[in-house]
Amino acid sequence: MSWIHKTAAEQAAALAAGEVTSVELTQAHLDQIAATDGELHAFLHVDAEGALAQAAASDERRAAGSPLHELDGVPIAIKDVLTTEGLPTTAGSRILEGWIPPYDGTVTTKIKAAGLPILGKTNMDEFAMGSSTENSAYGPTRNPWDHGRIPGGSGGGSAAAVGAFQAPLAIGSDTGGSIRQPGAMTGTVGVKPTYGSVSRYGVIALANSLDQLGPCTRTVLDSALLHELIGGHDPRDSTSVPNQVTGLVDAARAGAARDLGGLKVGIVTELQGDAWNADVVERFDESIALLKEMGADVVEVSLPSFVHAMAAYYLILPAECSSNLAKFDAMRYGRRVTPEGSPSAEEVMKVSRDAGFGDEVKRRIIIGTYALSSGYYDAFYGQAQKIRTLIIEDFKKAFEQVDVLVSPTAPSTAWAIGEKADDPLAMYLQDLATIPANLAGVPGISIPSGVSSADGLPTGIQFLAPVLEDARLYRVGAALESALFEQWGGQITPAAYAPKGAN
Amino acid sequence: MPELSRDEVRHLADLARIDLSDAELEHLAPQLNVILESVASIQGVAGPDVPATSHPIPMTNVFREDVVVPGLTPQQALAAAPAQEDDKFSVPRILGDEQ
Amino acid sequence: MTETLATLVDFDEVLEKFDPAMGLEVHVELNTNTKMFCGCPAVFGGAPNTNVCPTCLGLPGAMPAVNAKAVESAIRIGLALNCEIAQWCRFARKNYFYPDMPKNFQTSQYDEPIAFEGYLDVEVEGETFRIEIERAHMEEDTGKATHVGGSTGRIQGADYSLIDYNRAGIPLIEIVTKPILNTGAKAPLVAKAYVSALRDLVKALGVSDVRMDQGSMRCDVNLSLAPKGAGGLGTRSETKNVNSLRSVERAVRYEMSRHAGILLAGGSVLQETRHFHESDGTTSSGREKSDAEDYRYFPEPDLVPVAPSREWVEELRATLPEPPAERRVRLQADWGFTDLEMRDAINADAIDLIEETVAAGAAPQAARKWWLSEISRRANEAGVDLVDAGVSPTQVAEVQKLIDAGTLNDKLARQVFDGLFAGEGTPAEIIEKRGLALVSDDGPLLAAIEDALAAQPDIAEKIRGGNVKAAGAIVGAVMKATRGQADAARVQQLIVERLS
Repeated sequence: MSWIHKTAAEQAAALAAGEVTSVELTQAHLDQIAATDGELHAFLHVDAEGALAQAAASDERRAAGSPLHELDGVPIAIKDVLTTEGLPTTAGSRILEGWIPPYDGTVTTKIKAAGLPILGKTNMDEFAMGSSTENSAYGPTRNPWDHGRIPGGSGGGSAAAVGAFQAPLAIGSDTGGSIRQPGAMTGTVGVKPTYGSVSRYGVIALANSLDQLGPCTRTVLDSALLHELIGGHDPRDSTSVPNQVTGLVDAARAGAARDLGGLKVGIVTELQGDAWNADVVERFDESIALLKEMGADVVEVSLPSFVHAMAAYYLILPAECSSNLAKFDAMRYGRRVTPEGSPSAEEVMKVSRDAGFGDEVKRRIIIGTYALSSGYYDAFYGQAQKIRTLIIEDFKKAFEQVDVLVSPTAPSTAWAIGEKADDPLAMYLQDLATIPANLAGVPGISIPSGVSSADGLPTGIQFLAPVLEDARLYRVGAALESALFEQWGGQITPAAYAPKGAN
Repeated sequence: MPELSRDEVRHLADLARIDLSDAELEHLAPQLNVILESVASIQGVAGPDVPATSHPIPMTNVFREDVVVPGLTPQQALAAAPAQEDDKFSVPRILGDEQ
Repeated sequence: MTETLATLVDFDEVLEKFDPAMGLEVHVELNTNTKMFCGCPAVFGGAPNTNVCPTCLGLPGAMPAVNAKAVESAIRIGLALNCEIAQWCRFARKNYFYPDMPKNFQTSQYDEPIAFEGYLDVEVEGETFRIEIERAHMEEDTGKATHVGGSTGRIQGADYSLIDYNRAGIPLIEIVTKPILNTGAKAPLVAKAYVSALRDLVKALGVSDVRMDQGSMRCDVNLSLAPKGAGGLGTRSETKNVNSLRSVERAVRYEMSRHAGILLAGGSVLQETRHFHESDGTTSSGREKSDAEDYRYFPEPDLVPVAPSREWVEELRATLPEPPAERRVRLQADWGFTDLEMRDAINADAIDLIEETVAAGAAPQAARKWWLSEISRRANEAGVDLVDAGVSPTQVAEVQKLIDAGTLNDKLARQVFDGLFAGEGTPAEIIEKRGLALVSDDGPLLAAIEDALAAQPDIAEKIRGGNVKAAGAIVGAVMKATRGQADAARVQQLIVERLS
């Protein structure tokens, strides 16, 4: 068994105990990337030299008795949506091909300040628009469980990297499920923190009022460790909440004791029914039974405005992103395409944007431009913002009855690459369960709920908590994970990547 | 709910400074309409007394002090410029007027 | 460059047939240390792209953070304009593409300005006009583009443009009036008086340099004509590039004539943006706009609402300086000017200058005299505002001191002003260089008197005979001999002494 198969917490403990060095750990992961990423394509950029230098510095600090953080020296991968000074940052788009940011996002700064070597930048749907990572301008990432299938999106790269043991930790971003859904597709853990609790400074914006960075890991405890590291108020982000992010690791550790007595869990009525594949529901029902065994009180709760969540989301997001993406005009950075003759600035902008943006991006920009147009604002964008209010109110009412809400993370398991690529609406329906949390700002976690009896692919279960109550997710997530691991004899891993000699 | 005609799509693409080819217009317009139909379902759902929410977590008065913070050097600022001259960004001839 | 001949109707005829309506939009650049949404220095000038950061450059991932001082200044301006201050307001994105705007949207305020429903009273030739203020809101400035390759340096005909983003993000307060009606023939003066009064007010607050020549105060002039007595508003034109108070007046006057020319010929005025030309006071069409810009405003999602507490607003209200009208009443009393003298000084935009000259040691009447006669004359000749005439209040006070000390008389002082306008140096340097000092020693004067008396012996007899007035001829001769550099009164005195 290689170090890469250990959890981040285990790797950190081993570093602390002197059983391994960060250079060894980092090299082991770089070797795994070299061996597997030709096929998997989870990474857009690997910084071997930089990561090893950072690892060496970590080892020096540890030798001097002054590690920066519990995770000092544990390698990490970062979704290519977050700026990293000196490392290319593309957001999965051709329009930013080769762009090297002159500044670090706040979360990048925190990661560096804690001493984690950065392995590289992971693949994603272009500008985070998508649920399969097929919209990446650089080609899709493959699911470690079946290379012919999608890993989910938009953060398929981070989830696949973690699922294939290329990294023990990864940063993702979640606007409508882009951390949680890939987690479900790849049998890994993904968390969308409370909106505003993790800085967005340095995050290439998709929908400012929905985006949040979060952890992608193989275990709930690992997510808790990473989440506490990256969270907290940032004066550079005016939407950042003043609260500190603490207590998550404690909650995860406490949860692992599997005592959920007193916890009220609500199954969301609107996230059940025909849209949900039977094999997904099968695993979901088993997890519910386990929760009950552990002492949770499980009821059904209705959040009626959820039926409008998709429509509201697919108006708010394009509206905000149509404005966010206007800056990519080839005047100051990014790929400039100059047509023949003596074109005007306007013409160069148009041609460069047409060449640099993929279809999904163009679709959403045009819808967003329409939704904000004079004459349509009230009917579209304005209405969508009102639906948002209704959803927030539904959540508030629900959380008066229960402590956490629960649903399957996604309606199906991973589908074949290319299967839904030309059907945007079918793709959008994948986000049914995850979108409401972004609209309301509430935190959510997806943990693996076992493999499908139909196709052997992973399924995920999602918990949602009230704003700023992220700790509840870690408690219930750790409890369920512990119970499931016991059933499975450890975490579920894709056969092609399983440690030799594992079950 | 009105369908978007090809002309309307072209106009929107113009506003968004994207030069769509005829083939792209052919391809995109019906997809846009399908999406717009599905979002039309929210018409009239929320009454006039329901306020709009632009931020999930309400906050007000987030300010910073009027104190200089070091920024970028011109070299850093211009490092990714497709064209530059005399430490300024060089852009092709601008047709429109300033607003 | 003027377009092909506009038909201009004589001003009086315009007023016979039409009622003008004006709307003035003034942008004030704040003098905060940093920009509106980032910590870059907000300074005028500086090497290109040296005051930039990810936020004001619009780099992917960057975010805005609101400058508290800018909000404070906005509230103070609103209060000084008798506005209501919003209990709760937001920033909004104004979306359009232009290379001087790094994000291709401007973070501004749309339907929720921080201040609204105010007024400013201005006086023109004894009549008071209450200018109603629709709103004052916060926004950010754009970068600066220089156009390369065309013959005029303007955008038409340029081959390419170079952009400096130092100015991008500097805080601006936009102040918009409601339609200004019922000004009749005084429309151009009312417009000028409003901008002048606004400038005084903002200057007194200390929140901006309000230098129209430097761009820290910018005025767009909107004008329309309606048939006389008909009510309603005609189609308006907007004129930009109005860079001085004189230009405000001239732009209004020109547009009134131009609109009338179109309307009387049976045409319709085009709703468009025009460019003012300093050189000849005309306006010309901007680039043709294909359709009205759809700015697709929506609340800025990266910022949270601004909700100034009433306590804060009252604290700021207490910091407001003396309103300009009250100040003028006080100054008039201090200086002892008549109403007419005061009004002339106000019309000439000379109050601040007189105040500074008095502070530098001159008597108020002397200050008034110089600014309103000599310096005004020269400013008019050069076609510039009084403040741009090239003489400072300190220099005026210095010249007056030299007169008081007997080193200069009025005539010599005028020659010193010649030198000041020509940029020849300080008053002392000019006096030295040009040899302008009055003769201070009696010796040369007595010698000159002897010569003059010798040349006109009959005058000497007259003076001895008691005809003191006859001494004038001797004084004249002495003045000529000394090239005007004699103190006439002293010469007169010496003559009388000599002959008594």
